[in-house]
Amino acid sequence: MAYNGSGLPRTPPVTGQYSSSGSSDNSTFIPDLDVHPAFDTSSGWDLEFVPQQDEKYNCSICQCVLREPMQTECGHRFCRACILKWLRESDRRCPVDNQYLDENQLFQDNFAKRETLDLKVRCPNPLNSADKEQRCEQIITLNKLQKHFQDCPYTTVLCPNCSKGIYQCHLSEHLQNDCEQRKIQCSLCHQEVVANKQKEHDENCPESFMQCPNCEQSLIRHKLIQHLNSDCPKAYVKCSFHKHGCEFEGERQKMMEHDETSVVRHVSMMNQTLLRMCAAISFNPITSTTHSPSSLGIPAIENPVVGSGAASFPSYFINGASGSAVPGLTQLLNHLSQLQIQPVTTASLPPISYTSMPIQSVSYAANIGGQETVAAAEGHDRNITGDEQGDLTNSEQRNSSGRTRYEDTKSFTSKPSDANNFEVPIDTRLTSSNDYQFMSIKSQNDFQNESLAKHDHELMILKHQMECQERLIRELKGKVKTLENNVQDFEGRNGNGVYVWKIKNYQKLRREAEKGETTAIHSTSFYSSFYGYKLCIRVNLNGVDAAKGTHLSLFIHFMQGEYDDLLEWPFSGKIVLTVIDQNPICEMRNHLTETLHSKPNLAAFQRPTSFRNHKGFGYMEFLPLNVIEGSSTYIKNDTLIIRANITPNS
Amino acid sequence: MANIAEARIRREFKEVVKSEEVAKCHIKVELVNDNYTELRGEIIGPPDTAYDGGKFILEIKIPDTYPFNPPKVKFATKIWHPNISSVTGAICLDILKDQWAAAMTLRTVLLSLQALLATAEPNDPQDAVVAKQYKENQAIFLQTARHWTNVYAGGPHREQVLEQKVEQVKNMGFEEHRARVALSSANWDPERATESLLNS
Repeated sequence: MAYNGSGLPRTPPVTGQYSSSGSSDNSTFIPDLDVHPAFDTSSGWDLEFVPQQDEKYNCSICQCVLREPMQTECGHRFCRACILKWLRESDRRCPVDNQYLDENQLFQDNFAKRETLDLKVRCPNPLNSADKEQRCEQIITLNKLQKHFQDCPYTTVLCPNCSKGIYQCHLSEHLQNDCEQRKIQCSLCHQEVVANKQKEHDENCPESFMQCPNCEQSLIRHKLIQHLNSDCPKAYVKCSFHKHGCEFEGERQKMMEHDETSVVRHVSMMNQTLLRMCAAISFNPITSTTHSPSSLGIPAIENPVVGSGAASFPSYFINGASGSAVPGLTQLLNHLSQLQIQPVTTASLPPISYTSMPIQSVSYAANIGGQETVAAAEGHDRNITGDEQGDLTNSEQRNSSGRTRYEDTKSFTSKPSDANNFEVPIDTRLTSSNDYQFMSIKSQNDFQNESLAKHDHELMILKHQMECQERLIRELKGKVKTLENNVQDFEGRNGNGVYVWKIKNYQKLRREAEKGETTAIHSTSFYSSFYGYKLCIRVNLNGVDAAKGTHLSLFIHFMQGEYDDLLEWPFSGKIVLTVIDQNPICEMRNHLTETLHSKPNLAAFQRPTSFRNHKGFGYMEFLPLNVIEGSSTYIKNDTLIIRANITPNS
Repeated sequence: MANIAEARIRREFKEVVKSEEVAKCHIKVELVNDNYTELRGEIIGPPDTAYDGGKFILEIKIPDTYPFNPPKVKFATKIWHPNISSVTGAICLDILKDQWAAAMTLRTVLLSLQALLATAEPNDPQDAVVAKQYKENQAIFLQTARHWTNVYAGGPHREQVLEQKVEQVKNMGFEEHRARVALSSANWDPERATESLLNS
């Protein structure tokens, strides 16, 4: 920090061509701190002197204790700034005795200066506190005041993060607990969050609890979607058969009930789907059976009721997923509906009309006794005398023997006893055949359930794997970050004291600075040599304090480095700051360069006690903003380039 | 440099309050607003003058450029004085104009005004009528000034003859202050006074 106390060891005169208002007294060599009013050179020392100063030390213009005393030829003393202002703005007369007075009739009164600087004052810190508890109150010799301010607990310093003015003694606490820009770790997700964004984060933290809008269960936020998609009993879902045409929608907890009550509907829907699939792949289920109705001249669709031998069913269903299941299911379903609607549609259904037609069944039973599959065919004229004659083993006739008509029944009657012998077993077989069909549906369901469970399991395994990988990625990201930092650190070391900082997205950053979101930005760190001092540049794109909105402020901050133990402190040397003119024509480039010489008594040059020294050193008014933005060559491709050369005295 | 102005006035204010003159009730300064840009001064009429015993209120306005420019001061109390306007209270005093010096303070300004009451400067008048009377008819001037001090500044010396004349003109239907001004300006000749009142 460098106050511009003109009564004290002077800070270096301002060298920057854009640095100040022109008067060498109002230099702008200002650190993080506001200019303390006590060091405002435009008038005398407006402080509480202990004991109260003798009136002879007062400047009769400002009525304060003389700062940089000047004496007139007529023997009156004034602060340098006061008397010069008076002579420039008013008549050339002594303010006390009205005698003619010219600037060259003034001389510096070093005697008075020494005497005034030896007076004792009460530390005026803090500036605006009515609180008696929070006062420094220390009594210091005036010429030690500046030094005292560096250590005074109630000196107001700017927080390096949020640029808020904070008492020095509160800074570390502020940085830790109050600063709006401090990073805090979310206790839930362990992510680092800027304090003033905490609320926002809390509202969105993936690990925070929130209530399911449906079932009011408390859940971790990032699990909510999963919960809604697969668990929430009250989530509104579509029936899992909706792709097959089921339009039922409702709470998930009602789905089980729906599934139970709609098995038949669902199976029927699935059948339709299968049929459509078959049609799409031009698959004819019936041609795949051993006895095709169409081969007997019966169109499969017009007369889909096909009596099948019991033994042929299992093969359709056991092969569940294979194509042969399709015709099997179709037959089965049609069969079922047939059973319900026309239990006695005789001619076409010899194997099913068993209850009402025992006799007919005889011949059929005889047939199927020999061979498994029998197809029915209407309009088949063939006489069944062959059956009558007991020619049951004749395989040619066997095919047609089942397709009996009513008039044929007479011939059966001639051998009632035979029929009676077979009646019971046929009944049993047919009934068990229906059971079998249900069994098959059931086994298919079971199969599907099993498959679903398997998929669920696989899904779980995959999820677990994904979590593992996410964790791995996070770890790797962390490692990459560390490596990046190392690389950056190395880059910073190899510049040999020269560091070029490209500030990309200038416009965006400038706007942020203007809005006060991010007023200060810091460069990455760099070293004065491989084992040298570690520093960084700070820039306030919209200026700071008095230069706010008018100038670019530029400072150097020392940082804790690895080799601080080897180095000499305070830093002594030269720092050259340059804003680069990026004009493509080299001759036209007009870089803006300022050279700073270290001041060993300033805190900015002491060995940093924190990660980055809070006190910086540089120019509050480095460059007027209108110069930067008025010229097209300082900002090019939205990038501002700042160079720093650090040359320690060896 | 408004802050210099304010800081100085703050110090001066403290100084005046502690000063000997305040202790003796010769002068007084009060704040009108919190930012020290407006103050209210008070001076006691100097003894052995026509203003003896009167309390004169002053309006003081501090410019931003203070102390490099003088404060703006005028009388709020009506006063009969060659260098002070009997109408507006404006003061003609060199130190409040071109002879201002930054070393002057509120205290010295008030004391200078007090001195001005004691030693009028009729050759550099603010109020020509008063100055004329002062030069041509010193006795009437003193009576008038004393009367005004009694009426407006609470001075102890009553001028009963003048009071009667004011009453007389007032009874003719004129407002009291206007009547007093007219009479004072007409060297207390009621006829001339009423004439001027009727013509105005």
